Amino acid sequence: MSIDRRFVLKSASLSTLAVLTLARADMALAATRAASMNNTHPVLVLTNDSTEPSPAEAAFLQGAYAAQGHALQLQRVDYEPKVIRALERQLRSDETMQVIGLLHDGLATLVVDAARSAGARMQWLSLHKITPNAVHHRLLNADADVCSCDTDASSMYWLTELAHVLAGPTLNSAMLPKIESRSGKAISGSFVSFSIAVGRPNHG
Amino acid sequence: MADANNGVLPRGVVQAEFEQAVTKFRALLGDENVLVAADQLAPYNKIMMSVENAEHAPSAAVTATTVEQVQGIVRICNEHKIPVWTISTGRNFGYGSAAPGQRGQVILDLKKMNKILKVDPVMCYALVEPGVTYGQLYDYIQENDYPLMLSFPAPSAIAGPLGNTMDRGVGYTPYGEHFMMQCGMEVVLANGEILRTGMGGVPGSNTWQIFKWGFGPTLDGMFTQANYGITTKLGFWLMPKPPVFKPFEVVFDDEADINEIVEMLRPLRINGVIQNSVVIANILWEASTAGVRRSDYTMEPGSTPDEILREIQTTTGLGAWNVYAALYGTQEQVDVNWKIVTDAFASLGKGRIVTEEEAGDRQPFKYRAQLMSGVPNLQEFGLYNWRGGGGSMWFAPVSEARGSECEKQARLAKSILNKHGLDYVGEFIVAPRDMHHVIDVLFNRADPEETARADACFNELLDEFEKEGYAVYRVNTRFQERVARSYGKVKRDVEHAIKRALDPNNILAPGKSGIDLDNYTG
Repeated sequence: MSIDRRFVLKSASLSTLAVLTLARADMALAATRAASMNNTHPVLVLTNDSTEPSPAEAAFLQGAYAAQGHALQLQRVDYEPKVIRALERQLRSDETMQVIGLLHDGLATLVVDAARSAGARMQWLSLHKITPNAVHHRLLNADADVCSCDTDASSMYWLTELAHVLAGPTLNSAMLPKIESRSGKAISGSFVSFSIAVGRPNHG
Repeated sequence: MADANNGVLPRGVVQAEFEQAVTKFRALLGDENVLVAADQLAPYNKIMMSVENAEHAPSAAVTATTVEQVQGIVRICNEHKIPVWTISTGRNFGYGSAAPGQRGQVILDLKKMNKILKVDPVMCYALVEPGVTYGQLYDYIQENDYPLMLSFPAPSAIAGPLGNTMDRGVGYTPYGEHFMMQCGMEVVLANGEILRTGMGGVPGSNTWQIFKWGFGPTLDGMFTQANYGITTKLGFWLMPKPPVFKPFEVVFDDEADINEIVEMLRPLRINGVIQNSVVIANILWEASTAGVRRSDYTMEPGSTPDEILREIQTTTGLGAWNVYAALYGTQEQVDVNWKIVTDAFASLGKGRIVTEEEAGDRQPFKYRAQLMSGVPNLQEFGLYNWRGGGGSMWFAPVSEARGSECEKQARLAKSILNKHGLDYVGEFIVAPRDMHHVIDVLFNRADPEETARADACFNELLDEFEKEGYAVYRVNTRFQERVARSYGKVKRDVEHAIKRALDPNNILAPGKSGIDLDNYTG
């Protein structure tokens, strides 16, 4: 985009963000999936190196499970060089696969770099900063629009929706689980969500 | 096959011209090595700077596997006036990462030129291609059981020696000043000719990686942090692995201790008792690499108050300043130097010495010891989690290795950062006479207001430091033009005269270090 075409949405409602998120993800994913065979490729979710997922990560995982069920594969990443090298080899594979995740900034930096090094296709990349009072998002792309939205911090539902879109072949909102916000507990964190298409773009 | 249409074009190049160039790139390199689709280019554009991604969006990325292909790319770029931004491994995090310096530049990604051409365990040197990583070289040395040790920057496992040396990066061993250890390079010039520096131009020479200077003017330095050529081979010296390695830490509780720390360390560095690039890291640097996050202590916006910094010190056992150094040599040499070092710290009357035995596997000691002994790791990426949000820009002024100067710089930097609601996350890398004062300006790129503050902060850091006669040794691509001005008009005139002579079409990385024939007016 030219910088002039950038749109900045301030104080968008949760639903606005969800629509925006879904629309963008659908657009991006549709391009590849149209070229893929039968939408049956496996989905791998990369998870942080913490022993227990944070509320935000849990919400994301629930959305991914809702889309893929038990076919979903989980893989933990950490700062061990051998782990990152192994991931890069996976991302270099000819086998079609979708790799998604919601990682902390440090690990996400390594994963995005591994995707570049492996020649994989980054179909979704977004920053999310969650504080008790607001959630900031910034959608990144090669020349993408920048979307900065302040949203309601009391619910993690948008993360569930986001994961559902990133993990699923099509959006089926009836399958979405209901995630309750955790009242009385401040939710915070900084994350990067991503979707990486692995394998040759024009075969199944 | 993706269309040559991701909506971004090189400066001054029309779509039809660009597509002709892309067609030629494909014929030269094959479709799989010419990336133009948005999802292929997105990973090149995860910048960490205080500007929109669009300002550093590439029009394409091409990968070469041979020097001949690099020559072919340069030829096509000249024919169509396409600016090309070269990366080696692309891991220049916080200095521009893998993104081009200017919007629309074609990235030449040399990651696939990753051959280790030679490692000589007797003469202790290596010759590598641009895509070789330190991790790859480490594995090679281990597999061959060579008694050699690497020196590298913190993203060690994935960064590469050619890129780091060409950007004049530093490491943490006695060979930590990497450009000083460089010996011989091969450069593809803008006209397609191949230059070998030093002894490399002499047919049959076996001293290309042995003797740096050759005959006549020594040219190596002018290709570093520059855009006069594309370096396709780099030689550098490797340190013999010492029989004994003794890392240690000294913990200082008071921020004001920096003056005495530096005054005590400088003679030990100049006289060679401590041979390696010592690090003096502040509390936030060390805490974040050990897994501490700001949100663990406060949710309040703005800079982190000193009371919280002291609380982190208390809960983690880290100091306001944490000194990391090591001794290398035979047991006898290390024993002698250890006594000198411990006596020096004892005479200071402050500072708690922590040995490797005492620290065990505790972070950040473990990764610091690994960096000082040439073992690659990625622990320092934890810095990005301190505040979160993906913003990171290194502000790296040079300082005298004099206590009062370091104290002055640290205070000045902290006051400016705090004024803009950001934290001082800094370290000094101690050479015998100079300090690389490295500060990570961390900010939340998801928040436009904070991003704007970070940008203003970085500008003010540059301005205020310049008023005191300080300048940075390296900077991210957002601020290259600004920093180039700090070094004066005459230097810039000379740099552009060289550019006109070597690259009259201005195709090689225009804007690198502020060198750009299209923008510079003298």
